[in-house]
Amino acid sequence: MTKIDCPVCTTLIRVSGVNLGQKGRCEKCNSKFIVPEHAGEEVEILERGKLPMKAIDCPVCSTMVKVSWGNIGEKGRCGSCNSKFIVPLRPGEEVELLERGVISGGKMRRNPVVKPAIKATRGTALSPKTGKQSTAKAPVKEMATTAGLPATEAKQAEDAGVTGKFKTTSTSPGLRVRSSEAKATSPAVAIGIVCGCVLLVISVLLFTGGEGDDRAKNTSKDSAVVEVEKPINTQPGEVKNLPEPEPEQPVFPGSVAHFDKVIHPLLNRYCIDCHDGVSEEGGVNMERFGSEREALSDPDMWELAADLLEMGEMPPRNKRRQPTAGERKQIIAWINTVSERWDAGALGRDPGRTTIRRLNKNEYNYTVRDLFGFQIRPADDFPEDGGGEAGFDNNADALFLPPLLMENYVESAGVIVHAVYRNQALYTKYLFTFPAGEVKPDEAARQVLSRWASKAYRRPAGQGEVERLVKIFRIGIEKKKQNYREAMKLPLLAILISPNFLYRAENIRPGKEIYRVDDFDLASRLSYFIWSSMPDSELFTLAGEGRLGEPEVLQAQVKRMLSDEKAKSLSMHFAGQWFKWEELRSRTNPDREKFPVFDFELRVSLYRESSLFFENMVRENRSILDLIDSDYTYLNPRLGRHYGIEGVSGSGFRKVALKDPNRGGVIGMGSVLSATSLPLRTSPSVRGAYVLTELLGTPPPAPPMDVPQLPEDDRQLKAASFRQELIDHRFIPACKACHERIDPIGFGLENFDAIGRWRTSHNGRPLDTSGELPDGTSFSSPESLKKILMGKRDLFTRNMVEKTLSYALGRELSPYDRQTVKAITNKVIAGSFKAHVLFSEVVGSFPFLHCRGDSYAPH
Amino acid sequence: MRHIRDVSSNKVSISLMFWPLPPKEPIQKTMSKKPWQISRRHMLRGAGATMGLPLLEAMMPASARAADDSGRYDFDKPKRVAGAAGAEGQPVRFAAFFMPNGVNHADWDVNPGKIDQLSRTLYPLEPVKGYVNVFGGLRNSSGGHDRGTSSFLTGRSPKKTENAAEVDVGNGSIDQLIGTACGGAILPSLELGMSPPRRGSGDGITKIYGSHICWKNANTPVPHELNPQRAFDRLFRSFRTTRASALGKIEPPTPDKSVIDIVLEDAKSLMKQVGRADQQKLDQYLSSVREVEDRIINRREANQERIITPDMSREIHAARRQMTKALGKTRRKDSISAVPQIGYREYGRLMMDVMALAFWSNSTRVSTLMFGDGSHGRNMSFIEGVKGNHHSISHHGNKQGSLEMFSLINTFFVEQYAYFLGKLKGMEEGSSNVLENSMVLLGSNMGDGQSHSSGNIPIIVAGRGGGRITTGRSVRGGGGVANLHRSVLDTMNLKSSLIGGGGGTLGGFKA
Repeated sequence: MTKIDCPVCTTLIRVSGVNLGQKGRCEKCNSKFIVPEHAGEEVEILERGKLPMKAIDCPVCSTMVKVSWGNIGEKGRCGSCNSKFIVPLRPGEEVELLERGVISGGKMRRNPVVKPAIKATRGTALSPKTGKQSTAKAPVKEMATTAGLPATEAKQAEDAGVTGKFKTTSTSPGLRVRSSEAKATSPAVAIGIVCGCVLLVISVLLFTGGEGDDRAKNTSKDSAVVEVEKPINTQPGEVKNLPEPEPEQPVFPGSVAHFDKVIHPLLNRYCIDCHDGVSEEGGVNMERFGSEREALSDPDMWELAADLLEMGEMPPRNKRRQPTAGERKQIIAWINTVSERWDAGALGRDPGRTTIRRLNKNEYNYTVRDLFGFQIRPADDFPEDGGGEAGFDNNADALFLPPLLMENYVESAGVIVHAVYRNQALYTKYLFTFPAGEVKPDEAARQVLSRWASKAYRRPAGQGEVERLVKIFRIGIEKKKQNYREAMKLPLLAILISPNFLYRAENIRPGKEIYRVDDFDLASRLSYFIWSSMPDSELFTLAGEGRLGEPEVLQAQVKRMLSDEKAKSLSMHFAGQWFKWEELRSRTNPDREKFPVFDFELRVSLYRESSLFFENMVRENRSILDLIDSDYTYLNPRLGRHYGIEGVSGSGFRKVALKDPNRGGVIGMGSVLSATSLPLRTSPSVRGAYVLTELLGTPPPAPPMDVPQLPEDDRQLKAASFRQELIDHRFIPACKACHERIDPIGFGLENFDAIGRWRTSHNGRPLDTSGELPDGTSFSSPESLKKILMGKRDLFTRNMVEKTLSYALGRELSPYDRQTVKAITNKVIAGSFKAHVLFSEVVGSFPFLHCRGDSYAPH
Repeated sequence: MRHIRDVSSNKVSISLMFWPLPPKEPIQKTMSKKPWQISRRHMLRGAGATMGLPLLEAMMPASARAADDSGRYDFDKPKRVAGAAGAEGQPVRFAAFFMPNGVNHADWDVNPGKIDQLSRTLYPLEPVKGYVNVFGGLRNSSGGHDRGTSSFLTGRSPKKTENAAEVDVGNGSIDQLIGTACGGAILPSLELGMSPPRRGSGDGITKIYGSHICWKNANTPVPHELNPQRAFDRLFRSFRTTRASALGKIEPPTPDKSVIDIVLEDAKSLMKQVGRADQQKLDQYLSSVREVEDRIINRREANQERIITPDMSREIHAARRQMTKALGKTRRKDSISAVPQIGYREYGRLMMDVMALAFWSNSTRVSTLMFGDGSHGRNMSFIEGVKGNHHSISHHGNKQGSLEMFSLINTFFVEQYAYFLGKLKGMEEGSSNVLENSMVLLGSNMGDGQSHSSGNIPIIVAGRGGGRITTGRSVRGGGGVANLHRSVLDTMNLKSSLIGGGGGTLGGFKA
């Protein structure tokens, strides 16, 4: 690793092998820390540097403007009057004005923050004392322990205003020069420090045509804190020295030449400094993209990059080297072609392969129920299943089979066989052939076992398999001298612990082909998708006749299955995990002292409301947009009281028309509102993130590492209101960019308390639930928020298609699935958003119907 | 023989180092070759699988297996050994408790040297002060809630990924290594926990990491039992009454060798047709079947090997009654919840009762307990003076009020730990007690919950390891937590250069 970020001010600091594991100090903010030994490890802070000043006065309008590490010594802009100036390095120093703005009339924002200039103005660093422009070239700072530094050099370095911990060295031509510029009070960059989310931290500086090298040795004596690159031009707004794309042939987006000649150089210039294979800022490595072919492999990352580029969040605002507007457009246009190509399927087809997956807990229970017809639920004693990236517990890769679980399987198989034997009716039904007269015991056993193995394995049992089971039977008869009845126990047990029962093993062909899944495998895919259980006799019959794959037959089956009662698995397990009402089982625990009404009955009722709602939507083929907003829900009297809705009498659940437009849809449900709260209070940030992630499919980036939290119990707040405290927190630049998108949504839902009840005041003060999204749309209630979400119905639909497809396939989606997602989304939109269209399309989709050999390659 | 990771081509190789081994067979059994003994190797070769396998004990004819229990155990050449023993021959036990979210060091740290004065948070250890060593300054190989959890007992930094198929923690965890090497009368190790696994991913990291401290090998997490009653029943089958009475007098059938052979053959034939990733999953099936077969067959014999004295029997019955009573009250709520809905303190104590009894009766030598998952967000308001959930409070923002509550939470966990140590101390064994012959680790994934820092993670090791460890000290050192792991293994007479990818033990561990 050669670079780390100062954990306090996020300045980029170059390190060498000597520094690893040793103490270091950041020149800019004077924080002390320990350099980690390996890339990706935490930088442990020993001592935090103090911010020299908290705020400055705008030289034009005198508004107090808050500053942070990212602003010190950099260009800034007053949020009130739009003047541009340079933030001084020390308090009390002159604020050099670059451009005078206009004091606008009207509302001035409270405590405006310094906004670093977005545009790529190549300004100059001021030497604070002299006001002269420094022409210092960015030195390469290397960290050295004082131990390693010869005394004279250390002294020299100190005299130069550089501490003994750092020494500046000259660069050799050809070496990429990096300046330890302030990064990241740009919030996106602070966030990019954190693990693995695909945030790009794009370094501004790059080596540009060798202009800087001969200045390398100049170090301004006074630039104790930050050295900046030699300015490329002297006037703000002017751009020089950019390599123009060679104009010989017209290169158009989408052609390989375009990438090589236009885009790749731009990436090299603006991005790769931070996003290379060594530092991998934000988990993004663009250095591996030597050709367009390689670059195409990660469209999700590119789409995020396009968003950030467009918003001006990347490269980080305080980087000197910024792409011009035109260059930004070029990159974004190219990224759009990447998305388009994937969405159009221009890059090949690949149905993907789901790893062999074992039945999860629920599937095991339901399969046993359908196989034997009784209601014992042995899997309730099994350990909990994990879940994959999308959060579903039917993701093959997240399902492991440890010895503990195997013990449980063995025990459960014993219990099941035992239960069959104790029940005379069941016994007769299952062991239907007894040796009588001409039917020899072996033959009888063979018939019974063949039938039951085929049912249990969900496909016709092979002869070898059946013979193995008969062998066990024979051992019982011959060696242990058991009778028929006794000797059948162990073979039945064997069926229930065979991998053919425990795993959904599809008939995989080796090699390089894409092939259609065979009918029995298709029947299983279908039944485990919609019912979380094994196929029924109708499906088996159709599969046996080879007709299940016919489009009309398949679609008819889908419709039948969606109307069957067993489809409530979709609601409990698919929707429950997606929308999080599953969490009401264990994880959601409102504090019983503060919320004594949240007892077992309420918990179960809230869960039922949600699961009935989804069940019904599917069964009656309603619009999936009901999930965003609906004029009905399912209530029992308890919930009626909870929500303050009158007229719900009697017992049990029934459909209730909603008069209050604030209720309705998933975010009006108490289950979701409780699952998105903390034990003692609501969390607008969690709810906002929930809406963005689960409804719109646009999750916010991860928070930075070192985050203080708000007070636990909102009864103890200092600020005027909880809302105000959150708003105050948003002025921390590291938090702002994301939270100004997340929190307003949560504010719009503050009328719902931590267990989903309606309130208009909080802690004795009236609630202010107004919020404004960055694009300017404002709302002030759940009702208006839902209207806004309705306006984004296409996004929601796409998200739902992705979730449904991922659940149906039991794996994460790959870029090759994008064309499928797009096609299905369009069909659902065209089909009035009806639920059955969604499920039919998913079942009829390419990845659902096909599989591929192990060594298949898309091109 | 170990399998080398082929990093360059990004292939996911299977690290099969810590394959559970069948036990050494008792001498009186016939040493005939089992049908699956050789054929598995053939089978895998035939399937064209490129997995390397450790030379499994079972694949050698029994006569060729060395019955060597002396000297150091080498994980590079796995075979079952006796491990360390105390002065009177009692086996040394190892337990690990995982306490999430770091601590408030101002109240936790103890001055280096002999412990006369315990710190504020550690005062519940006063009764067992003489058995305790406090370690400060150790660094976890990974920071943050999730990866720091998985590296707690493995010593390496887990691979950053959201994809469940790509989980990789570098090597197995020390509890699993010890369990595999030394075995146990009933179970090689007992894994318990108090939070269900989390699903999905966050911040680009799969939640699988934050949900597990035990790893069978680099790619296979070991889930924990959430229900103390079930854990109890696994260990003390003959003491339980619930299921037996429900099923009547006849015992449900259990598989025997013929059944196991058949299902293994089913698996073999399945493996022939599937791809690489599938084979990895089926491998888990195979190894789990074999391990269970071992336990089932062993269990019948083990009840003779495991000696339960009248004192123990009394304790076991008492524990069972208490558990039935406590869990009986919440049966309705528990019907929908994976986690018993009893009070958190009591829940922890029931779990620790099972662990203590497991140690005392020698049902197992290794046990772990996760007090919560890596980001533990449980409501801790039941503690006097605390209002809020664990995770939020651990992000104290350096505010006095939050720091105070954080310290109170830390103290709560130390109390729980002290309860366990007290129990072990009270269990007589020979002329001493179980605590004398144990090593009990308490630690966290992070040093500072506020900044998610991996440095200076809180670590306490209690127990004298069969007389090998000088206790009652506070040691301030440095280096990685892997040094601690290697020291633990060393104290158990097991050697491994594989843990944490390096060498070196923790200075001052044994003193």
